[in-house]
Amino acid sequence: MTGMTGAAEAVVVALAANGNATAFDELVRRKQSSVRTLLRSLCWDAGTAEDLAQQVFVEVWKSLGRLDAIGAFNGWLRRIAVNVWLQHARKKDTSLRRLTDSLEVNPVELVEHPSHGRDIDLTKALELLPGPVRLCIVLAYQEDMSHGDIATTTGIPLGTVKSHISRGSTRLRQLLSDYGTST
Amino acid sequence: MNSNDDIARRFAELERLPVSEAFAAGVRHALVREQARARVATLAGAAIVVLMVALAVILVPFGSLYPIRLAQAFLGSFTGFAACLGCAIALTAWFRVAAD
Repeated sequence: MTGMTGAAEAVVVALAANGNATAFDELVRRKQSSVRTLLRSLCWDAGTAEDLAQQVFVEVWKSLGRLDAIGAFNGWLRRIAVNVWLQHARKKDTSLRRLTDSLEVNPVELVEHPSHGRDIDLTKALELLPGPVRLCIVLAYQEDMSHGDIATTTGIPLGTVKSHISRGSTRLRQLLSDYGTST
Repeated sequence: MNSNDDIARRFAELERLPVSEAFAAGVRHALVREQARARVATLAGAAIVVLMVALAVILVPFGSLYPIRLAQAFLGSFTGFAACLGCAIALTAWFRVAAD
């Protein structure tokens, strides 16, 4: 608990931007749940997601002073989270290196996977999607972002975002259908 | 249920992770580490510049030896000094990136 528990978000952000450590602690307390949940959906393992979430807040601390509009903090925070994940994923996943080149994901990658079936849940199903597709799906459904916002945040062209969401949704429905009927 | 609504429902049912004090403590620890890294990188850059100047001063008594004269001439010239300074700045930047 800090002395800022009841303070308005704009005040907390403004104080943290001026280097107030107590305000930044409060910001971490308020925002950690959404950042950790987002990264947990994007990452394959919980440990990596927690490490990346910490990295997000370190980046926030380093660049908060340059945030122009306090009101835009949540979108800015989400963009940092996505960028931190993209940087991490590009080192691991070759399909994400293509993301900035605006290349489409090969449809073959979306078609076959041996582990789909009755026991699959949303988290497992997401793991089976290629990185760029998973990113677009999570931002669209979990974060309720519009296609345009996803394109702006990730740097993926709008047409590719729509294609990823369309194909990813089809694949998710396919993966979840058996599980859905068994529950 | 085979529609986008079904996917949206499943996402809505995903539980948000609870607030964790351990995570907050981890962030504080990471910030302290980050600030220490930045200080080390800056000090390393400064140390390189100081070392460079000290080297030039130390070499003065040995100025009669040809390789030393050459080094003094290099460090004494504007181009040589600028090159060394450039290297020091590049090394500092590299230290910072490597520290991240």
